[in-house]
Amino acid sequence: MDSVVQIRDLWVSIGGRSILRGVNLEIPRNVVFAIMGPSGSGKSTLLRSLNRILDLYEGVSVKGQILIDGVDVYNSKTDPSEVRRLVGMVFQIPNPIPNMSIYDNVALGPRINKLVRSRWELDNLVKRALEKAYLWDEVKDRLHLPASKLSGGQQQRLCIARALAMKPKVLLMDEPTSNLDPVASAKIEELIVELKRDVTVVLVTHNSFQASRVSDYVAFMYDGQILEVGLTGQIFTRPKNKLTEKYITGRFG
Amino acid sequence: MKPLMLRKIRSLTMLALISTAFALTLLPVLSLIGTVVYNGMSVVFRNFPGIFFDIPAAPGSSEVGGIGPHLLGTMLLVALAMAIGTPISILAAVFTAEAIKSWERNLGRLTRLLTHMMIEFPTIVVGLAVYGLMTTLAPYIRALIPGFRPFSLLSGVIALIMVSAPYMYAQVEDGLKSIPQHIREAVYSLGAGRVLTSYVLLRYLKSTVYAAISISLARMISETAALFFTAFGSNVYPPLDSNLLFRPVGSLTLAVYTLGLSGYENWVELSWAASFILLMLCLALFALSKVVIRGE
Amino acid sequence: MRPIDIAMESVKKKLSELSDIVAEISINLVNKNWEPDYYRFKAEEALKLRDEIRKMTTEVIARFQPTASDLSNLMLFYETSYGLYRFSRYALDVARSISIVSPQGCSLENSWRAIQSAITLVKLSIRILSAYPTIESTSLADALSYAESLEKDVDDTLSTSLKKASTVADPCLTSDLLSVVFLERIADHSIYIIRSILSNY
Repeated sequence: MDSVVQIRDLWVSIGGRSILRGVNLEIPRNVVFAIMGPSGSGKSTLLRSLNRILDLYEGVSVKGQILIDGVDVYNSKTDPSEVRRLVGMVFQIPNPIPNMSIYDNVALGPRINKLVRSRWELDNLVKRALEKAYLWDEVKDRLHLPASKLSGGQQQRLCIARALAMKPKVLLMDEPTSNLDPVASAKIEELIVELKRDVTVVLVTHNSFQASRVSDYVAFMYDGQILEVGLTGQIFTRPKNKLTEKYITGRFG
Repeated sequence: MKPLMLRKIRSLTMLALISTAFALTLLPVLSLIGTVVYNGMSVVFRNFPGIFFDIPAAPGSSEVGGIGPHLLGTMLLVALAMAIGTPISILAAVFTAEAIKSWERNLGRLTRLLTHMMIEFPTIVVGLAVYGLMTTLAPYIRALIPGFRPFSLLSGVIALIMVSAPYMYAQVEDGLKSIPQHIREAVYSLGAGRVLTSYVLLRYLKSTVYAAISISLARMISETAALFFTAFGSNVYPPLDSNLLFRPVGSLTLAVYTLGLSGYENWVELSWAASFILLMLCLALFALSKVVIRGE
Repeated sequence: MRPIDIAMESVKKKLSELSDIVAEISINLVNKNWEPDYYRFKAEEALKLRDEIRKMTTEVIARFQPTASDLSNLMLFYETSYGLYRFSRYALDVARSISIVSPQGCSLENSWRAIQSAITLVKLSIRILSAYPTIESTSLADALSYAESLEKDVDDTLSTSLKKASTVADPCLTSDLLSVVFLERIADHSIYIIRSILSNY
């Protein structure tokens, strides 16, 4: 299996408390990989350790190895900004920069990293990113409107476009639809399934139904460890671990 | 009495109280503006436009002359203090808010503590302290710059910075701190380094930064006590040569004080004129900041 | 497309593969191929497809919690797959019972009549299945009445065959009766398919 992400024996503690305990995981290329589990199981921490956003937190200690597309993420020689260009991230609360225009929001990543040289290239990049995020048709006539004028679902798609503009190999999504209404959520779920053609999506959700709907593989996390991982159809029809069964059938969590 | 009647009376009483309080609050503001405008505007138009350029006329004469030196002094003091103080306070605020490593956080906490203390200092004490510092250092500085004197534009600028920079620091730092963590994470996740992220976050806070700058500006223009022992005041133009920084200068606020306390009628009138101009400047800044914020 | 639509498409695809096997078997019956091994082989293929459809249906329910029309469609595909599989087994039974007596030169006229009607009914049912859900309910109602007439035909043939076989003890007539019984089952499953589709409208 060609894995784009390999996590080997990852231990993470924040402020002395052990959050991740010996996580081992391989994520194949161009799939939607969901990580589900109850609150406090360490899902968000695992996600944030993939693009070194964990560095921003106080008192973090990380042991173990993470390889993304062959790059050793926590090697002291690796520049964290390098890693963050390989890996895009979308958050629970849609967070475009509000007083910036829609165009400028999507262009932010490429501008920061000087990815394009001409305005024409940038226009194309922005257009393609918005098309991929199913937002182009809705905003093509008002690209210079401030991002705050969009609805919640549109803002979240804008954030997805912003991440896609960097052409990442992996897209991390931290409960991307928790704050959206059902119609907007459904649109984004359809989008996620399409996205796997270009990127590998790692989706964290506490909603096991969402994991079952959109993912190809799913991992169940509990108390800082991966209890079970496999094909989604397999896990949701015949889970091997008792706790997984309890979680999926809603008997706890 | 019926409960309904009782409620009506209670609400009418509250309304009357609130209206009275409002009037009592409005009255001083209106009377202040009214008095200054009334007394100052007539003097300004007596010698218009000379009032902005001439030096004060001889004491006791029938002419008023102008407050040109004081106006220039205010502009120089404020321009230099802003030019030096703004970047320092914004950079310090960014450092404190975006600190990650433990030594950075500790330094940031210390800065924040000291700066918040400085905000509470009486400005006259700050002015005196700067004077003391300048006097002590004078012999050493005179070795490099022969014309140096403790009462100077330079001291005034330093005093103004020490008075208003802490406030700008506090505003910007509070603004940065209030940005939710996920926005910060979003900018970092796009591959920005720490410096670029701080820049993007400042842009996010455009209106806060503008508000902080315009309030600082207004405070610097209105600052008096800190300038007593530093800029010192002067009724003539400072030399417009290499010694500019090292000579005393006047300011509009010092003009109000010194000219107003003198016994001479024409100088007292000039002090009203200075008050008027000061008030107009502050109101203009206020209006400008509102326009800028609405434009965002 | 919604994720559930993608999954339902794969179920429908498997179902049409199963329909293709049924169509192939039908042609063989009409062409008087009575070789049991052929039908046994085809029945095994049909069983495999039926099992896959069962697994996929379970997965769709577990993963997507289908409701309303999604759920009725899914259940329709699931039940239809059973009927189509049973057809392959009954076809094997028909071939077996005819192949035993065919060297004896029996007339097997009832079997032959029942085959004509039953196979027409089978072909009608799989055509309607492949056209679902774009078929109009009016044409469906017409198809149903035609199907009922075909079913009645097979029933009548069964009665005739029963009467004949109960009066004379003749291996030909026995074998004739047996295959008509199986053909009646085939007709029953096929018309059930058409009725289920109609009930989804």
